[in-house]
Amino acid sequence: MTATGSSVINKIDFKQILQKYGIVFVLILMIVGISIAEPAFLSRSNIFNVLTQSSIFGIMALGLTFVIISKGIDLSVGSILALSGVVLASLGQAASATSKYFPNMGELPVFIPILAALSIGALCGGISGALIAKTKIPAFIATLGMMTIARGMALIYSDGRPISTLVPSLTALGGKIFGFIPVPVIIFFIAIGISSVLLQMTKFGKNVYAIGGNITAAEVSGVNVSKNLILIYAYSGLLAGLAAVVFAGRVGSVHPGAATGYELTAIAATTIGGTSHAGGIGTIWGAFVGALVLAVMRNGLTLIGVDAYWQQITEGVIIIVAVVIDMRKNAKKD
Amino acid sequence: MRRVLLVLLLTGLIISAVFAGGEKESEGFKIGYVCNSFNDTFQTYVMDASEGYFADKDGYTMVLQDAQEDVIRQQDLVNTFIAQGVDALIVVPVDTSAMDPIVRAAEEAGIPLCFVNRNPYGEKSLPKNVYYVGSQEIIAGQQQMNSMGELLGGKGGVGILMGKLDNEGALKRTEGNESVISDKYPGITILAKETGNWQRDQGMTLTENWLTAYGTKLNGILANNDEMALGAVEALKAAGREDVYVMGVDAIPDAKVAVGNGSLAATVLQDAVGQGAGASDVIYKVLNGDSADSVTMIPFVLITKENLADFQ
Repeated sequence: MTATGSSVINKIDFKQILQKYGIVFVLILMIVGISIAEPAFLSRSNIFNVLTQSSIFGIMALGLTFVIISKGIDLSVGSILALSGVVLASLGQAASATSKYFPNMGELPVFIPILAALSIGALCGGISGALIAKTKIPAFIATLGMMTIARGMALIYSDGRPISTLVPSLTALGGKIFGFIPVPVIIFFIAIGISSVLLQMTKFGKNVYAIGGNITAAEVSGVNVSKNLILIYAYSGLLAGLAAVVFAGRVGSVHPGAATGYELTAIAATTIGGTSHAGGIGTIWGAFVGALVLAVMRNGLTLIGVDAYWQQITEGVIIIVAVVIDMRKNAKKD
Repeated sequence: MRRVLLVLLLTGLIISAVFAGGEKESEGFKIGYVCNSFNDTFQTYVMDASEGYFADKDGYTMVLQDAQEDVIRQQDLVNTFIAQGVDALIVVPVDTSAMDPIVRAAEEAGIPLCFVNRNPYGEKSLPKNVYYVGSQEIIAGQQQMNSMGELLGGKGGVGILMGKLDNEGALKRTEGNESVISDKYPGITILAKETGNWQRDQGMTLTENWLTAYGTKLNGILANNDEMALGAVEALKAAGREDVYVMGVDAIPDAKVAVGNGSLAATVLQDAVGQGAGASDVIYKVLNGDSADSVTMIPFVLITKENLADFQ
């Protein structure tokens, strides 16, 4: 082999790697840059800070990965978090709370409020999915409607006020175990594991890709599109309910305005991670990396003392750059 | 391929450009200030005053951050500040009921924490090394309603534009309005009481709806802040109603102009400069090993056309 030949091979490998993992390089670049400017970034406590800070919108991004792969969108997850959250908080108040939502109710076992949050999330998502499947209205419209409805229901349920003083077993979900591992991070990782298995190893996962790739072809080849759409949005809602559990744990109080705009952060994380809005392409791993990019950026820019206004501009630039890289990657595949 | 590299390079450049803009570490004390939202005009005056306090003090730097009205983001910023090694924290709570984790984080880090403007503790006493600088919100509502009661001659209908409903200021100012009505002005009815979330546009929308619903029965509007009051002024102007008295709280510059031209009947000055500088003063004392009061109250003042000149 000549030297020229081997350099060509190297070049091709590098090209493929760069295209496949472009966003990982951006993440590494950010981490290196921030660490040089502020070594405290790499302290153990700060690394856990970053992971904790990515957990809430990261969990939502996992659900959105399913939705976006199926060529849909879900704008309702932030509002669903608020609705699941206020119900969870009302069922999980400590006996010592001064303004109790249910004055005559004792403390319930902790799984009841958690189950309630997950069920409400899945139900709201399932309703959006059913609307999309049965009436054929665009996902954007169905979930926009659900976004407003769930927010309104959260306000009605809570009478516009935050519900606070939760039982210690709930706030423990926002705390740490062994004194240093944050529970939200553990919950996030478990959700990543379950979502990965669902997407990559089950028939449901294959159907999600099939629907996003070509809905007509999927239907013709015997995929029950309606059922799968309902499941996709129910899963996205379920994860919004799980995010509500983490939110309540971290804050110790849930107000009906909670998580306003989080749907967009979650969509950004999913998109940065390479899930294509054209459908059929995307991974759970990507959503995780995308969530990390956003969390590293927010944490890092604060650490090194970047002006708060500039942080927002940087966030926007990174989202656009990530999608540009992503589109180039997908264009090569065609 | 070249373009992929170019994109990566540009990203790197943008990031390093932003880094270059970052402040360098300096000796002395570093204070982290987490504002509830940079969109909250009044809070930016508090923040500016707080930062300004340290301008002529050597060895003190203040870093400002925006929680964007998001409790989780506020908590994240506090944790990030602590990881960075700040010596003290000043926080304007996004949600006064959700400050426990922030207090705990400051306590674990062993640094003083001063809440400004919104008191998470209400009537309760504050933990060690935690401070509050602000005003008694209920007084603002009372001063507002006393003046409104006189203007209306003790009868008529009013609407109350409330701030965010999970916020102590909104609840207490409204409570102040209501207490004066029930004690002194039984002839005045509250036609409506709705939240405009501190926002001018929402104050305007609510007023438009009230004008449709109540027409000439609406004689006065009490807003929990000036932004919403100015929204109400816009709605009234558009509807051609000059007989409705509007009052706000905060005395922001726009509101003072409106008091001057008569479109706003009054505003209550919640002393932004006093609170911001007051918070910095507390932190300054604590960092220097002096003692500071756990609660510092800054007084309110009613501003009308008559005394406006004193506040320009």
